[in-house]
Amino acid sequence: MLKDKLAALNIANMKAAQKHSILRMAVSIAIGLGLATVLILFTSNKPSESLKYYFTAPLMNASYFSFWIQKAIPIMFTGTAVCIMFSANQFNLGLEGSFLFGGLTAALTNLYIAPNNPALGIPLSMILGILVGALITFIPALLNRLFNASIMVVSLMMNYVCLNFSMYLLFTYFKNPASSKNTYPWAKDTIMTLKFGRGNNQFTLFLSFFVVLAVVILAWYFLFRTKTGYKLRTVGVNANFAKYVGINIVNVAIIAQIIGGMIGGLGGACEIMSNYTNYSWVELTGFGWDGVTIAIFAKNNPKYVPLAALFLAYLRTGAMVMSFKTNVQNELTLVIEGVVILFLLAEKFLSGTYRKMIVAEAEAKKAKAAKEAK
Amino acid sequence: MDNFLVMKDITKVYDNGCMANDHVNFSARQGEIHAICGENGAGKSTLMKMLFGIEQPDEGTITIKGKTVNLSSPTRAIEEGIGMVHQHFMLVPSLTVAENVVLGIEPTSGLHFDMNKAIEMTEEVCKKYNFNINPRARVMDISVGMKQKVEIVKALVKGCEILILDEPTAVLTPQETAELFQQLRALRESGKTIIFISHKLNEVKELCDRVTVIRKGKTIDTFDTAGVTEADISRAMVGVDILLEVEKEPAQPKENVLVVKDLGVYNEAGKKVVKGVSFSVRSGEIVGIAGVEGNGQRELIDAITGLHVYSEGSIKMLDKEVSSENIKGLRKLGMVHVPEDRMTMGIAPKMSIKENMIADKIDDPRYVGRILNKPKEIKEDTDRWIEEFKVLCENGEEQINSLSGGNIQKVVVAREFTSYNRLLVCDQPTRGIDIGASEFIRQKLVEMRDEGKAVLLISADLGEIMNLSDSLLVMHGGEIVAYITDMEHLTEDELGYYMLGVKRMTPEEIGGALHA
Repeated sequence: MLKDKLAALNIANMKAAQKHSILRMAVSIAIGLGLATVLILFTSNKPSESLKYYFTAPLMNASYFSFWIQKAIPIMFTGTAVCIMFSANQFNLGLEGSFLFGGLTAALTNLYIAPNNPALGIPLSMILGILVGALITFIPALLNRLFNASIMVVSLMMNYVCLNFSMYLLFTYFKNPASSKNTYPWAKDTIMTLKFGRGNNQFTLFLSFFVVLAVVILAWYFLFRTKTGYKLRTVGVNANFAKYVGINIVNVAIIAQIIGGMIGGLGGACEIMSNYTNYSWVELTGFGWDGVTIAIFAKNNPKYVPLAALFLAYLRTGAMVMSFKTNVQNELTLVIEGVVILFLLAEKFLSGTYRKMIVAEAEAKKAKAAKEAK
Repeated sequence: MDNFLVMKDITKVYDNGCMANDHVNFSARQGEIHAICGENGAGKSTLMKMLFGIEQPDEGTITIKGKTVNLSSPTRAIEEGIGMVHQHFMLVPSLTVAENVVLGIEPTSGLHFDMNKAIEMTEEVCKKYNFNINPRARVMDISVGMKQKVEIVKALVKGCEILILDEPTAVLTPQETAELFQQLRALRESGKTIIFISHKLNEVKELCDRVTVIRKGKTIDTFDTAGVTEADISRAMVGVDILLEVEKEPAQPKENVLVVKDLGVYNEAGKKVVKGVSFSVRSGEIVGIAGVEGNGQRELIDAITGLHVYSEGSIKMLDKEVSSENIKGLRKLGMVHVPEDRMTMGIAPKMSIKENMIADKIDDPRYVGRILNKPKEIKEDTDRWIEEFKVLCENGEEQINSLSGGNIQKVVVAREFTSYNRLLVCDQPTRGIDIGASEFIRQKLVEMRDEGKAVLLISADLGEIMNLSDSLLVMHGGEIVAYITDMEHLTEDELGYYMLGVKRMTPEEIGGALHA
């Protein structure tokens, strides 16, 4: 059994297409990191130190390590959500709204429904966050069903509706009058974390990390092991075919978007309860967009989401530490992300190598067949 | 000139790793009609795509009149004097014939397109090669045979010396085919080299001077057609002798499964394209529908299979009105459908063979539990079907679009035939696939009939439809113009007259298609 698995991993036995996809990913990342190195060398006043922080900071101490995980969690949520929606070919970009409202819902739950009672507040916040998140991605899906409105446009607009509505609620009803934009705190410390040690050696255990791992696993099972997931992928690959075999493509598309929103809302709730003691979001978090990036890296397969999220979070943590330890700008990491994605999405990138690989593979197959014939 | 065109050691590997051409050698003389024969997937189309610059070879050289050419695009190929008439016409329907003909070399006067010059150029070529076309007619108003002539003229206007025709007769009636052949012979007399791709060996024998046979991406041989028989060519194509006709017992039809009554269907443009069609398909018989493409068959089939709404008349599947059922409901009633275009409708290309085979059965409790699928049962059954339907692949996990056309079609047929079925709607079930796979699918169809299924068969392949059908409907202009039950005495010529609308039966005779 294990031997089979190892054989499956053997690069030499891989099909050219798989090999090429790995090669392209590796080269894209190498180019991005190479560019980062060059930029740091040119802009830093302490290049070697900057490079050291950029590439190794998350592994330097427990505090940075915790910081890395903290950054990976929300984009794992949104990445998984986008994987499901994109698998059905539904370009619903309403996750920003779901995430934001998931967070707001969790904050209000802990403030007003279950004050000072995390044992009730945490699960209840998650459930309510899921419901609210689902509602927000469902609205564009519904408008599309009823009026044939473009899902992408409506969902993008929804994000700003959500943001402004949440700000209206915050400033009108929930703000602590003594502060500029914060609610009252619901606890002294974040309620979904356990902290060990002090200072640079403080290690934070995020309970939401386990939640998101469960979400990733369930999402994978849903997509690849249930009939609804199967229908969803079929609709994504060829909607004509799906219709012809009798799948209700409208329902499936709506289900995909609702599930995406549920995960987004849960992510927002977990984010608020892991990192905040009061609510003060007055702009979109950006995690919804990151979800798209992660889904591209993971090729819409939840299995690769943790890897992609950890990779992106690693770079971001490194850049962050570098920026406050040396003079290099934090935004550098955005340049790198952009470059890597550009190369990943450029279909013709390395296509020459690919042609050589498949010609070689075909020749080898022929030679093998000839040998067997003898 | 013996080596007018030489393609030497041409190798082409497609992105999915399929070696379509493996050191193929081909040469043509000036002023000959040279056929290329081979099963589908043998690599004929690939070879011609490289000659016309659509694809580039991975290895090998192409020489024309002793000069090596680099055909990096169709534009380059046209400059080298190569013209191609594709199986699916490349014409702009809303433009006139003359405008289509000069597309790419538009004559101008000042800044304007010079319509008169365009008409003049078209007429000149038509006159020279004796084509009878009206340059002012809009392409959307002319017949299929006429469109093909426009394609040929289009190539001639650009000064082509080598003309490639990809399955030109597939869309033509026997009469139109005869006319095309006459014109091709005239072109040969004027020194053009014609490369003729066809599955139809009798045509090859009748028209061509030489024939090159390609099998599995390799050149097998080039023969003078005078010296070989059709059987010789087909043997070279498949490597073994094959039976060209499926043997079958007379049908024993029973009760009606599908009843179509006074059906009227409008297309998207609001034009009535199916007019007052009535017929029935009984269990245990194969009913064929013949007709030149675009005479309402497409819309008729879409209406029957629930893909297109109909507004007049009724379609009843086992006494249930089709319009009140969704596709899932129709499938539950036992209607299965092999669609005409397998790539856009028949498969989900990026999914595995296994997933494609199970697509319509995913709600079946045999394959899904309360939450999770049952991978073991799915694998067991799909593996069995792969074997039963002789799908050539490594295993069921393989992505379906890495298979050849014939094998993809076998997957489609396997999926449809293994579902619960009472009525099989088979739309062009063997179009564009190799003889072996075609043979297999035809045999299966007859087997299904003998098991008591009702079969509705639509095919542009006259040989196939005359061989398989127990009775035959002919459509022309959206109507049924003939209902033929005496298949033994039906000739291709007679069928052609019905298809062209020259002959039609009396309403009483046609009414016989609807059984009580």
